[in-house]
Amino acid sequence: MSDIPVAKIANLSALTLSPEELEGIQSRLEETLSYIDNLKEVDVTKTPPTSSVTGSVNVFFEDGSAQERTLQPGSYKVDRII
Amino acid sequence: MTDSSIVGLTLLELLDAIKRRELGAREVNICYLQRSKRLNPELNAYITLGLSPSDQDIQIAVKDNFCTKGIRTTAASKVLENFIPPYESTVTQRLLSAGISSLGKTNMDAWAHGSSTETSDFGPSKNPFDTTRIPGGSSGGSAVTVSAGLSVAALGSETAGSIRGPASWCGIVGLKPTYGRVSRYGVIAMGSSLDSPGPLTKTVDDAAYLLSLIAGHDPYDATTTTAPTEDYLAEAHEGRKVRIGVADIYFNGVEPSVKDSVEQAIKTLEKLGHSVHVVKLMDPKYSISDYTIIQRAEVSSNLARYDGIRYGAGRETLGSEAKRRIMLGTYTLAHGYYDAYYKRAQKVRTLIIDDFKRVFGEVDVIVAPTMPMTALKLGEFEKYPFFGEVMDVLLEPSSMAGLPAISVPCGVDAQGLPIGMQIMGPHLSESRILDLAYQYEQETKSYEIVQKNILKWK
Repeated sequence: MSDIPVAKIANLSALTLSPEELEGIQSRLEETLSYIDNLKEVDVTKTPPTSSVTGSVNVFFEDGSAQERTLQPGSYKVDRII
Repeated sequence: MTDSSIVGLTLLELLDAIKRRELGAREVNICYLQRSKRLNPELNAYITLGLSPSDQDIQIAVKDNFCTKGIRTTAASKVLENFIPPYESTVTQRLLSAGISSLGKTNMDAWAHGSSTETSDFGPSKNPFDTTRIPGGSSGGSAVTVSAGLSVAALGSETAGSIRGPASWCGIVGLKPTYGRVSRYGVIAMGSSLDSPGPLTKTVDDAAYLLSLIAGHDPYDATTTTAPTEDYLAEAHEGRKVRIGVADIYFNGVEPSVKDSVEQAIKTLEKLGHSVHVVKLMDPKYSISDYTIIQRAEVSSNLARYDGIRYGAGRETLGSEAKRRIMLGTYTLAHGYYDAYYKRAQKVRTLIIDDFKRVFGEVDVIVAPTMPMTALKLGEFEKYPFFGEVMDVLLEPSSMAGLPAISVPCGVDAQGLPIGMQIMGPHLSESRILDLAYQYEQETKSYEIVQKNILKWK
């Protein structure tokens, strides 16, 4: 369990963590992972994954429908980032 | 009318009094605004309190994860400390159209990550029944406003326990609608396959009324159901007699006072003409694990948008709980771990859904305690590795399955702390569970628990 690549995960999560934070999170993650391991007790060999709790499929809407709630900016002012 | 008589009224009673011109909206709003200003320093229920009382609208407390146009919305995180939404969430828009606006934005666990309101970047809220204790979470602030008479009703949201839990610990009614029954457009997302906005109120009727205003298909939220809404207030008075399922496993590890109180409530329901049946349900402990994986995976994805570039502060401002959840979520979705964790969790989710479907073939509703114990002391959550998920064990299964459920007060323990009973139903059975809740409430007058408590807060 101690091979959780926390630095790599932090990078993927776009989080900058200090060495102390990384260490703290590592032990918390290990704790959590060892608990959720109990899911291995459940037999899911013949079970499909849930994609929608309500069973909804292919919800479409017409492009170009009334856009009255779209944001209508003249322009946005943002901080310079480059 | 005096302040103490105003705060003794329910939302429906207020609306009626205003219609009959016995009361004016303005005086009601002034009453609640003044009480909120006076008592908020001690209870910390609000992050943002309104400035001026409305003359026309009835004002209620709104959890701070609903985007309210022009009114600061923070999700209780410093990342959004100065964020003013440029748009209105569907739910608050529907309320505005019905003459209900926001009195203030309530405190919550930051990003709704918790069951105690202690992870808020703006300090914890206090339980109005005992201010050394937490109100529960994540809709803790909302529950506190109703429970102490700082608002006649409140809006909250539930991912897995965040309405029912605080409702139970604060002695009030909390309704979690079916997933997809109420639009999530404009609600700051936590777990997109789980989040359900819903009301926290003093009475079942108030909850039914608010549900009727906010429920319904929304083209701006593709996960909302197109199933028609019902006249929930009328349906709550139908007086249906139902088959109640009780599962022993939902009473495992539950505090004796809670167990006794809920068992007593079930006997009351039997007296009212309902039949009680023993049912077998999957152990909720698997739902803790299942929920932890799926929720944290969705959290990691949903919080990726807070880049600090377009709005809000940078990601270094995220609290430690948020960081922890993002990390676990990213891990379970990462290449090499996805199958073992996230995909497996979605399969277990199917089993949970099917388990409930099977049981609802035998009974009409399932009744259980809402929380395994009464309100904990501030700071006690540190004892638990992932407190939020562990505390909500009895709520997670129904949330994973997207089912509707309502928590109603059914008693107090020896220390006077409220106990809640939850009624769960199959998809889109809000009418049925509201009906049963109403029958119980009218028989036992359980709303007196919160009414008495409100009078203690001057």
